[in-house]
Amino acid sequence: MKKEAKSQAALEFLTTYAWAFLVIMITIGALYYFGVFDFSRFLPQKCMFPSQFECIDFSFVGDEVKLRLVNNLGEEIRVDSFTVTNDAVDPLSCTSPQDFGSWKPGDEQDLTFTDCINGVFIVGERTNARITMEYCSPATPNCPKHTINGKITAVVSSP
Amino acid sequence: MIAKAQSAVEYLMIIALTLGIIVPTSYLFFRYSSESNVQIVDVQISQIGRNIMDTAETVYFSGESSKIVLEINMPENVVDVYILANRELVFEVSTEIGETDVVFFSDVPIAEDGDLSDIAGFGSKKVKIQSDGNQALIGKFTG
Repeated sequence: MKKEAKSQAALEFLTTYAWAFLVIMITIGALYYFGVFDFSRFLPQKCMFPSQFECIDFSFVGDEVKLRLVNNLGEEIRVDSFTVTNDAVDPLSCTSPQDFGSWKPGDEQDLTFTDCINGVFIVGERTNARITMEYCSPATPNCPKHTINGKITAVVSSP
Repeated sequence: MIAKAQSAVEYLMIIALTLGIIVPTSYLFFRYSSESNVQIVDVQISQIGRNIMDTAETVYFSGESSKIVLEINMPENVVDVYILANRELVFEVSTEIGETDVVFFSDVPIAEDGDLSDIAGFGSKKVKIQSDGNQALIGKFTG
């Protein structure tokens, strides 16, 4: 009889412990869901490009990615293509600027990528965009193509 | 018994509070440092590239048989180094953002002396730049 009472107490203790554990897990889950543990929001908004194409300004507005780059190559180049994506499950996709043409050394260029969809590109959310640019120097025979990659991390603001 | 339980709870609370501070701080530090690392590599490669280009010009205009050996500290992210069309020195760099070509354009004709990809990869390297009268030859110093 005494042994049964002891085991009952032990079982009740474990049950209480399990309930407490369950409540704690649900609380942590809820906090995680509401982004309490998303520490990346404390990081600054940033635009990282190689110093040869310095990023002067950037923003995510509405469904557009805007940035201003300066050609620090010391060489006139011809831009062949731009691509925007990110590491989301459904990656970011935007319409790239067309007919870009030549880009003189020291010149600044405003680039606007429109109709951005997917990639957690939602107003108020912090997201990133990886921008790939292909260019070549017309002064070099056969104009061999080169690739650069840049990354913007910012909060999407309303238009 | 109650005093023991109280001290145990207090101990657990202190551990939880400490972890609550250390974990986010470590995360932010790691993210900050990884972004800084990309910028540091970019600056290092820019310095190396400009140094090689300036030396190539100096050697070219100094005339045939002139030679300079540069000692450089190559960052680990450089995958390949090569010369295109006798005027473009290209460093292929792999960073967390992706693969990027860092290109330096030469005003004098340049060419590879051996396989220039030998100077890619992390560590201290010696680069030999010499003139053959028509162009500046850039290669790994093996002396």
